Amino acid sequence: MLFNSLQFLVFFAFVVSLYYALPHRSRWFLLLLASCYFYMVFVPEYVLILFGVILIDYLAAFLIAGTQGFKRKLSLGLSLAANIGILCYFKYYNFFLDNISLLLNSFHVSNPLPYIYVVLPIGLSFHTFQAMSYTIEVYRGNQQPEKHFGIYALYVLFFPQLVAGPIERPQNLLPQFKKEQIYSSLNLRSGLILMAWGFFKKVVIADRLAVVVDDCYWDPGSHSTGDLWITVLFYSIQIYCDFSGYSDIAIGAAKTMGINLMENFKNPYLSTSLTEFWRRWHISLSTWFRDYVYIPMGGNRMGLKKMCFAILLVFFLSGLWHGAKYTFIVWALIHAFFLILEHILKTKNSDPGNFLSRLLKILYTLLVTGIAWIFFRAQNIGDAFFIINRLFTLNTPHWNELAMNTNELVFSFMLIAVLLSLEKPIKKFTPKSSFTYYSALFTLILICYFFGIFNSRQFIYFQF
Amino acid sequence: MKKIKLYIFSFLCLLLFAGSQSKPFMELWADYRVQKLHAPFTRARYGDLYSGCFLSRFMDTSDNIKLKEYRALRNNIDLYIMHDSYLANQLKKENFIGVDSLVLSDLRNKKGVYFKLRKDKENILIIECSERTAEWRLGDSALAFTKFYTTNRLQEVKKVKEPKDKLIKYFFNPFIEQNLEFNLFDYEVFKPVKELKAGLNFYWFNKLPKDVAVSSDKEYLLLPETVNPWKQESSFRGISDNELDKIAVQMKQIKKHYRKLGFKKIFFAVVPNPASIIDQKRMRYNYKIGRIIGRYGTPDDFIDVFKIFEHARKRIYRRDDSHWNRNGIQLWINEVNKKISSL
Repeated sequence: MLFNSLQFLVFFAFVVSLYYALPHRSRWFLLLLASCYFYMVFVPEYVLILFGVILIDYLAAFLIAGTQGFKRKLSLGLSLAANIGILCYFKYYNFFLDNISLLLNSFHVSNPLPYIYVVLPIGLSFHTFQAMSYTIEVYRGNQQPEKHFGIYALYVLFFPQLVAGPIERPQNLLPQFKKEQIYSSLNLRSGLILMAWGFFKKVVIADRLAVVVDDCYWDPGSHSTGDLWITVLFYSIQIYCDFSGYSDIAIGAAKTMGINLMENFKNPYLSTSLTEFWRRWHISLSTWFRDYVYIPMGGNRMGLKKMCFAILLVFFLSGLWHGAKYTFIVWALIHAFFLILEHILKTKNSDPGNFLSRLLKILYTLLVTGIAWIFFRAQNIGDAFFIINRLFTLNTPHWNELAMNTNELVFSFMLIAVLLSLEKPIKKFTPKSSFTYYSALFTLILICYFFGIFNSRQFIYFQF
Repeated sequence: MKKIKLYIFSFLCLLLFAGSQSKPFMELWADYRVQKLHAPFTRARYGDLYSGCFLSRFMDTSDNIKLKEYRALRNNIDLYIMHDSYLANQLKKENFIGVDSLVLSDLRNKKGVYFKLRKDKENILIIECSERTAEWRLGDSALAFTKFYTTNRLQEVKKVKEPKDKLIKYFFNPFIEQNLEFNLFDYEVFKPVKELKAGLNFYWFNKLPKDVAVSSDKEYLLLPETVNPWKQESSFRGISDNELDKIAVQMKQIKKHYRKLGFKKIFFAVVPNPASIIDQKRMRYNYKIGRIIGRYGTPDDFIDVFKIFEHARKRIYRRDDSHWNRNGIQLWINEVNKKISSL
């Protein structure tokens, strides 16, 4: 079910009202049922796969907690293998075959393995990673195995964050399901405001900019340098508004039920370095990789060479996590390269600098992330290089053949300005007075209605 | 008290959600709204394209012309018309000269229609479709055949089993979004707000909803698929001669089939897309109708209004709808009458 649909709004109103009407002991069941339905709207059969993995991890956690030594490691290994196996089957099998075929073809040998033609379960990488964090935390002794199967299933399936995160940790989420959530109008209000802000980012900004971005990336050759620069900027904003919009709706939806999800974005485009960017962008994934891959490899305490290798590996995995395409890997490696560079240079110059120098650093981060996004969005690496080449070529005379008129272009820049100026205040907004609350909520709803693009466009991160 | 309110609210939400999932409920509710509450939905009250965009400047309320009616001159002719939405709920037997009875069969009705030909009559069949659907209405002979039932065929249709995933379809109705929109917001009271939104986006940003396109002279709303050269329904798609030959062959089979069933004469009528007439210069027009007639080889079998429409002085298409207006229908009926009287 898409958040940006009437179906979700009615579904959500039903779930939240019944949630507070029901006694605490039945709420987990309502949420589990609602989450299953929410997921089944995409492809109903896939809920069985999800339950299969849930059952494996549920049992594995008890084995991990109840055994020592090799058996403990084996239990964790089996649980991770089940999760990663499903992820690989659906997401990477055909990619793997493509590469095998390419290799075999160079020896004039045809590939005997068949391709699979199945729809990728939506949000697979998100709930797989969330499930894995549970067994890892149990293995590390930070989390007791959850005895209540329904509550554990809800931890993986909780509908606000099921298909695109934030990727939660069991220590944060499980206790909240068990604790009786008392109705609080403050929670409800701040949750709804955050949801409305998320919808604004998605339907007013992201989906509007998407029209230009899709058009340019479909046929970059027919666009001028100016158009492509605008597209690069627009895509940076689009993907941010799309993904952080989803996160805001998810966090807001959970908050209306008294459940606090972790923050996933903190104004990443105001970062003064790539290192800072990754502390502010998709925080739940970057901390996942930090906690479960980077730190176990030695973290910042290693020597420079090992650290560089660890960064490269983490970003390589992060690229793969996003999808089975080389464009994602190149995108991730660009980030890795600049992170390593910053680590090396940091020792020589760690001065935060004045306003101008801060501004220049922000522009540097925007430029690097913007260029890297080209690989993320382009249909293939060739297209990405073509776009980069044209960005720095000033011989294409035509101007503004974008898929929006000048009024809309100006309006889009105004929206970006609104986004940058209101993002922080909205998140800190505590609607204590009814007047400010209703004014803010209705203003956002009206703007979403009048300027929103309602074309049932999926969230970009659903595909991951 | 608070809990009771919450239960009532959640029950109402559930009712709305479950009702919008259910196809039978939606059909009943739509009928009830139209007939008992006198609150027809926008699509029924205004044009289908207007209801897709709410741009008031295209609203067309001038289509109140009455079709000509003729005295019942008995001519021993029974006229059967297999038609699509262009002729739905439009015709009476009196509109045609010398026709004893008129039997209409909607090609869109998947359940089919049963009728028996009277052997003492001259049975004439007209198969009407729009230009945009010609490929599959006329090209796919199976589709055309199954729409015309003898007694046996009707029984065959009844035997068709419901799909196995009916339960899944009930819980996950793909049209729930449209149904919810219909139940929550398809009321006259919301029209000004919708028009304001449409106006803002159209006049400021030159943006239209994806369900509509505007003619080059900005006078008509058009179906986007009829002007998109990449779509099959388009008036501007390049069509190969092979494709047309295939349609012509299938049409000959259709004709043969209905001749066997007892029809004396079978006519084909392909109604031009609005874009083909009013926006012909938008791109390179493919002249689909003329080329189909050419490939088929017997122009007498066609009720061809293309040239008449091209030279018509009156407006023949609705500005807010994907169909013709009564002027267009009248011109078409005139051609049918000419054909009947020439028999």
